[in-house]
Amino acid sequence: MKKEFDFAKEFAEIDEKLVEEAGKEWKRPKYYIFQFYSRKIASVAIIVILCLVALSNSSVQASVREFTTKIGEAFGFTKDLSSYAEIVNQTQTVNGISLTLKEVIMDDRVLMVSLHTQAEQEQLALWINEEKTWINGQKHMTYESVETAGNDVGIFEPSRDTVLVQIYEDQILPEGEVRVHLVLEAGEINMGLEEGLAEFVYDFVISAEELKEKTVRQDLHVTIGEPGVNKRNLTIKELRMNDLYCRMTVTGITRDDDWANEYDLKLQGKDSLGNPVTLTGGRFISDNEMLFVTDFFGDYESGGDNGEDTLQMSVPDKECDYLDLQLYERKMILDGGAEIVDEEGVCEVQESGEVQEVYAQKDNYGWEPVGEPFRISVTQKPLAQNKEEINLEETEAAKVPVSTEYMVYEDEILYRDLQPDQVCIRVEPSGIRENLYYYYIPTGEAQKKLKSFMDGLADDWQKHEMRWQGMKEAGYAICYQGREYTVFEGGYLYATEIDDERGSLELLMQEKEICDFTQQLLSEHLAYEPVDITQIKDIVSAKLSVCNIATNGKFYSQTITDQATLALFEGWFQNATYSYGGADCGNNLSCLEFTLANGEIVKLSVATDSCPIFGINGVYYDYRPEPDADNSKFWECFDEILWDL
Amino acid sequence: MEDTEIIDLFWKRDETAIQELSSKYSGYCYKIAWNLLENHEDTQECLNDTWFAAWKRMPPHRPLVLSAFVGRIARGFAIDFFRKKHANKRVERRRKDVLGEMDELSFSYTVEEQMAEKELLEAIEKFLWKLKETDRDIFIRRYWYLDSIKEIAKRHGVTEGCIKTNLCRNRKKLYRILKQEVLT
Repeated sequence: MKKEFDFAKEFAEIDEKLVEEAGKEWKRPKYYIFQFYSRKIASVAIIVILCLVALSNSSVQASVREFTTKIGEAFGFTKDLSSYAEIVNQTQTVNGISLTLKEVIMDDRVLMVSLHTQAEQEQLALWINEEKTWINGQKHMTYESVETAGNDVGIFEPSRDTVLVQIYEDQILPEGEVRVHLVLEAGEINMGLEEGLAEFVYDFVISAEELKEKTVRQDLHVTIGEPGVNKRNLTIKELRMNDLYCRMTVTGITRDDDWANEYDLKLQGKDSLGNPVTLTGGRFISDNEMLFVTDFFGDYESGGDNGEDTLQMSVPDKECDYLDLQLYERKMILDGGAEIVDEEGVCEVQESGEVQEVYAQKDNYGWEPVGEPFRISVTQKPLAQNKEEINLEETEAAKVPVSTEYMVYEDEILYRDLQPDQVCIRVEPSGIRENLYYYYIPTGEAQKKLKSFMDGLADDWQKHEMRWQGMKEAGYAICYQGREYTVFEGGYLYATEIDDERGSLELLMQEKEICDFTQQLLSEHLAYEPVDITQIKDIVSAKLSVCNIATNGKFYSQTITDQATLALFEGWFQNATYSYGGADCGNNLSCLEFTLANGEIVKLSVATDSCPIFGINGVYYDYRPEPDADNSKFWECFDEILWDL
Repeated sequence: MEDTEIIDLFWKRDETAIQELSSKYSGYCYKIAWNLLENHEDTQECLNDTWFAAWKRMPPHRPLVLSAFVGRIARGFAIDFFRKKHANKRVERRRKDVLGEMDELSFSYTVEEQMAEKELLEAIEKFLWKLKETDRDIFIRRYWYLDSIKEIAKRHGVTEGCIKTNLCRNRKKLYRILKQEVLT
């Protein structure tokens, strides 16, 4: 007999204290030093190992290469990182704790700072305040925090040279110069302080142009693992490497796959110059694209070093000719406690005071090879060495909407996310696109003018009565300062809000000047305009393109010129009825292109599920051929396209 | 009026109890139901059911946290209402999303694998307590309060993409834990 576990219902029953806590205004979390360890088990390992190596081998310091940055030294980077570092060298003293920010290095997802502390406390914890630290005016969510004081110093020594690393969930490094507002806090360990004993604020500007210019980027199509075995192989699509990191983007695995959810994956081997390389998998940048990246735990995670009594970040040399790698998998430890590595290099899980051995060094720490070793030839040179060529390549690549962060449409960039303090216009252009909607963000004078319009808007909120009824959407919305104003024909802006005391509120006002100006921008830059569906007549051909799960993520298209079918389409689509509120029935995954007798082309986004709904530039219509009919009659007309409602 | 006083009114079967309860918690419950229903009439109906259900449950129940108690009732009615109303219909994605995400964490299991819902709930709570505070807040705001991604992003001052990634990771983590609980 089957029994159902309905999460939506069961989750209601969680401890009321949890609910009560989340019901309060969000405040920066209390700080406990163990948070350093809680996010990724391996972060304990790195700290423990660094100390152990130092204890077991006093010659470590002497044999370390000549690093010019503390950051490079602490993490065992092989290359001189000084050209990427911003030297700050500012000392501040607060409540008797003295802190010198020495240097800062950023790549597109990581912030590394080197510091010197001087304090009277017996032990001193130091951390980056993630709530207050802003990069280009924006807060970013931290994926992981790490601290290491190098090989011979504990991370809570009151006087120490140390390095803090903040690994972010998203990209932090835009083009050009980056303004960093860095807030550091110092405090005692395990005190559970709302605030640290001392707060240190540093503002500086850093550029990543040097790093970008020295980055190798190469498109690949290399299948690894066990080719031919379902869900046991990956395809490497892109390689990026520089002196700070190496990343590979792979496909062939999705967020939902057991392989991704039950196993850790890594690539390990050496480059042509003999440098060890470890890339850790697991982070998805879209539903079906996973990143393998060098991280700060690399080889340390397995408890080993590079065999030369030195610590070394497992980044290949960007000048190398090839990488020899092997894919490995390891069954994840579920719901474990803190993972530690002892002096023998045995990895253990500790929970409720009991220590249980999980992976031993002799078993390669649980890692099993998947498929055969493989070689990747590195044929591209860093951008700085052949800037013109790569620039051309990037320009070409930019025309294809490959990133989950943005797409290029009509030679304009449409962003996936809102940009803070910018007026952003939410659009749904007809055409196959990864996401339902994107934001067009005007720049320069247009942005200024829009801001000035929006800043001058009245704030006339009234009780929610759905005043939009009887009006028709224009197909876009204007977003600014946390509010989204849906635009209706006739130059109306509409927004809703919930007020704790007044309940549901709405705002509807005619702002023709703003709407006309915005529409003008959309027409000029994106050719994004309302379409009169009664003009869908005299259809000469109908081309349907689709890319969705039913087509296994591949593009399919079919063109129909049969007059009887086209007449049918004309009847359906010309007489469709407007549908308020949009739809998300996989409309973004198809594009129906009608070529009319007058030469005009009309593009529609047809639902790829059972709904008889289509959109044209953000305005949606119900075209159902008969009452209660679904989308199947339409899809049956395109018999060469795989579909599954 | 203090929560304990409102609860006392319920226990005394004083009909002003409902008035006091709705006066204090209508905004709170309205928001939860609205997050899913996005319709004033439906939300209002849901709230009326909530006050009536509270009347029926107190006594014998004496909630420790009154807000969570009524919020839970409102949330339950909203989910039932939504599912009933939209059975066999396609609905707007932005409203459907949160239930779709929660469906990822729902599963069926055979009697042999059967364990009490209570144990699964304990596993969920253990998982929540182990989360970093920020992650826990995001998870509960999304799946208990049914907040939109946009609202949560605003609450934490980060991008919507960040919140989606965070939720996705923790959903997967919880799913593995729940499946393991069922299978072992």
